Amino acid sequence: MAIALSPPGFLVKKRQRQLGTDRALQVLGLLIGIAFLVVTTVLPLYAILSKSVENKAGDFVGLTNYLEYIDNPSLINSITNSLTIAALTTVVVISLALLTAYALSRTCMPFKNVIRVLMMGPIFAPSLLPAISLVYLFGNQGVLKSWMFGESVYGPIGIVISLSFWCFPHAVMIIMTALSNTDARLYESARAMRTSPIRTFFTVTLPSIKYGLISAGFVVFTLTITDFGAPKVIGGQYNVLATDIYKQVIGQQNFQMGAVVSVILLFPAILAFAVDRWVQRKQVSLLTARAEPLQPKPNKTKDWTMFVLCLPVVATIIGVLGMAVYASLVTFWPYNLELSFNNYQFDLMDGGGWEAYYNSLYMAGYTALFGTAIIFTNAYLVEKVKGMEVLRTMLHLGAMIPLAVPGLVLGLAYIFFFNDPNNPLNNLYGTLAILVICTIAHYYTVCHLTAVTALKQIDPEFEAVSASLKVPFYVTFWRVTLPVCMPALLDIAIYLFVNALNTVSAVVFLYSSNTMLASVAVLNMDDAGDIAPAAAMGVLLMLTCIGVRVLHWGLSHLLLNRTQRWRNTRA
Amino acid sequence: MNHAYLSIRQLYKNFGDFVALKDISLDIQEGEFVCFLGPSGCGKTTLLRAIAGLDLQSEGEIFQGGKNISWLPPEKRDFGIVFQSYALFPNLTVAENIAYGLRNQRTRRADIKNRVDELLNVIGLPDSGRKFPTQLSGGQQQRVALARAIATKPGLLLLDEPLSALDARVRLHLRQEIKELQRKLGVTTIMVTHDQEEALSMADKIVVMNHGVIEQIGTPEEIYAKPATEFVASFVGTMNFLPAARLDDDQVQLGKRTLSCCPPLHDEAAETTAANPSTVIKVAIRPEDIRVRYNGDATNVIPADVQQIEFLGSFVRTELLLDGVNEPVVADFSMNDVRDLDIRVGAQLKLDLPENRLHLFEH
Repeated sequence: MAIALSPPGFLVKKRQRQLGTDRALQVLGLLIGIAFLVVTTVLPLYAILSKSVENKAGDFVGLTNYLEYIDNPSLINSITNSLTIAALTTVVVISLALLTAYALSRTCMPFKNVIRVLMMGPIFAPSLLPAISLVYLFGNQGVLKSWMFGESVYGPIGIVISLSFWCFPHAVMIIMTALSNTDARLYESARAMRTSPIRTFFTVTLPSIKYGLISAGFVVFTLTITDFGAPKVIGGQYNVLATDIYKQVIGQQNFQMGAVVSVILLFPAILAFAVDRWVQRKQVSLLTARAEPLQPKPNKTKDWTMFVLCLPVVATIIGVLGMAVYASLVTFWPYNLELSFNNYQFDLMDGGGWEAYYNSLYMAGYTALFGTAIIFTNAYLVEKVKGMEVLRTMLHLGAMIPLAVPGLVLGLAYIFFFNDPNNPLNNLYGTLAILVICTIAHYYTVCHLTAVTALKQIDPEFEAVSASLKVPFYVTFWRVTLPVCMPALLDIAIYLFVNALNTVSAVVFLYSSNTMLASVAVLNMDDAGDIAPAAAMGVLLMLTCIGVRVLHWGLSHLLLNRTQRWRNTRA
Repeated sequence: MNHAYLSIRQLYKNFGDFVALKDISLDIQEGEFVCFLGPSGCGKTTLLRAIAGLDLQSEGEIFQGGKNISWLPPEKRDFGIVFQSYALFPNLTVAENIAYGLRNQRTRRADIKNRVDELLNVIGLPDSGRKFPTQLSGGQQQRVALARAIATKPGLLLLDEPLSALDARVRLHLRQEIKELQRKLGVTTIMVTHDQEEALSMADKIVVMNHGVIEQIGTPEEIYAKPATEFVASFVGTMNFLPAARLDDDQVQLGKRTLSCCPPLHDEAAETTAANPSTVIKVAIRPEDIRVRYNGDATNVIPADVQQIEFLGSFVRTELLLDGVNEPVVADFSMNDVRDLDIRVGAQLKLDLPENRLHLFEH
């Protein structure tokens, strides 16, 4: 069944290439994938850029808004503040993460597995939670207020501590990956040449994880400079770029100025994005296929030293998360320390109640489901379709854009784009659907890269074989590619779910009274002074994420046993 | 139109400025086993993939069974394919892999099962249907890939370096099996390989390629005994090349000696040299064609010194200096020759370079 389809000019080879059904479907898939990214990322970004050069009436005014911004000392001040916070946090996190990652992957320190699990704790909570916990620990009525030596936790100190806490697991994971990509024989050679451990560290270890460190540094820098939750809760009068956007838009309804700050916030993110791409390209050839994995050997002095060095980090994680849980259970801080579930009666407070929690679950569920399906299908088309370079490159580049767009900017861009009465998609505004779409777009890139990596590991000739057997490519996709990639699919789904549940920045502009979300409820309750219920909701989100993670772990095992039986059966 | 089953006409393939295939024309008869032989990057795999429709040519046409398939997508062509990497679906059992193409043809369940069982017997793995590919050895996996490719009874079987990933011993064994299976089924087969031994032992016809062009098409015997170009002579088997000068139709000057050779010469060399006597050329001879024992039929006898000896099991490879020739020459002698004539380093031999074994190439 030959399909009469006249493809666009650049698709036609010198002669009339006959488009089969397979080919036509692939072209269609690629076009849909590109259209999805254009509508969910490119056009909203264009909307925010054009908004930043318009006045309130919508006329083009050139750079007037930017000049106005530069003239405003309090706004300009935020740039310095944001950079200071980001730089400080990056230094703190990278040094601690290097220490921890090294201890976890290169020593046999006691309780290694327990510590490894604990380190991941902060990733399961919204960035608001550590900030709230710090208020209880070091705030005006904090239990450890004396530790601050008279300094106030509301301000840069609080922001740096909460963000360091929150970014820590990301950095540890990246550095641990870098540390595991090493060749044991390099260390054996160093020892054979009687190199001292210190010199080995500087000549072998450090060079091999150099790119991992740079990469981790930029990830932390971007996360910090674009985060909005922590500075909102604990920043006090200390303004940063992210809170400025929020204040301009929500506080003063000055959308143009919000757009200007957003465009400014794009710069560090784009820089980080560019550096990350550069690092990824450099990274490739470091490890040969024949490298031997390094197995750490027990060494009492080294192991116990590292353990002792890791203790403060462990204590901080337990302390901060524990405090949040404790605070959520205390009846009335600090006057009635009896434990109760009073703070969990969300329906009695402003902020959306339990409804918000259920909305969040739905939103995260849909995001995981549809996000995984869309992202994986697009990654498949990018990676496995033959020819059609132009379309595939467009789709791949499109998938990279979201990494450079901070959530707050994306959320604001969605207002401008989808709330435009001339937009046919206008009726999405205020629905759960737009929250799902925005969250998928927000976290698109990391998932895309995970999917591409998984697909690259599959034999490139599967499609050729199935074509020769006259089996349509979509049958092979369903019967072979999907089952083989199941672990990666589960990883993507859980990543989307956890992030969708905890995100504040992208959705804070987009929720409506019917689609209140739990993470936003944490923010609003904290804003209204209901700080204990805010902590309670934050803890609930964290426990949900941990629960889902455990479920995911169990499910993976079950699935692996059933559908991945072939993996473990080596001859 | 001629009666060839597969006919390739003036095929070109460019990757940007790089010409991967240049003016390829080729006919393959029904039931023939053809090998594309050449070093890596010579365009042999590109040509195979063009025939399969996996990577389309830039220009030129391909006919299969009289039908123009030049621009058809792979799923509309009639072929089965086996790759070096096996490309077996890892999550499906061996039986499911073999049945993969059958299921799609709306074949009845029972028929599929019969066909799969039959094929499992053919490849000698009757009890492995329920295993997963990773539970099999490399050679067994490649057999399964072969069974999967022929399950739908395609008119053309394409083998892309099917044996290159296997151990030497397994490779030897599977070589015979594939050849035997092909003969039994009578399916027209094209195999891409860089291994000359494989090509010589399996093919009915060899297509030697280099730098995107066909250097020579011929039977294994023709390719080996009458290489058309210097490239073919050096790529297939071992060959000594010695600079020489052309004197007339049946004589060449090698060092201080005059050798007789057999006219007619290779066309290529003959045309230029006939018009221009005493042109610099290369005279070539295979190590095993140099004789150390001969009766009265010797044609070009030259004294030689043995410089080095390398023991290779059933024979000995020697490096010699021919009298009056600067370049060393390699010659193979049987163990009998070595024992009977006491061939060792420093020995003096009188060798015959038979005139009908000399090849002449343009310099």
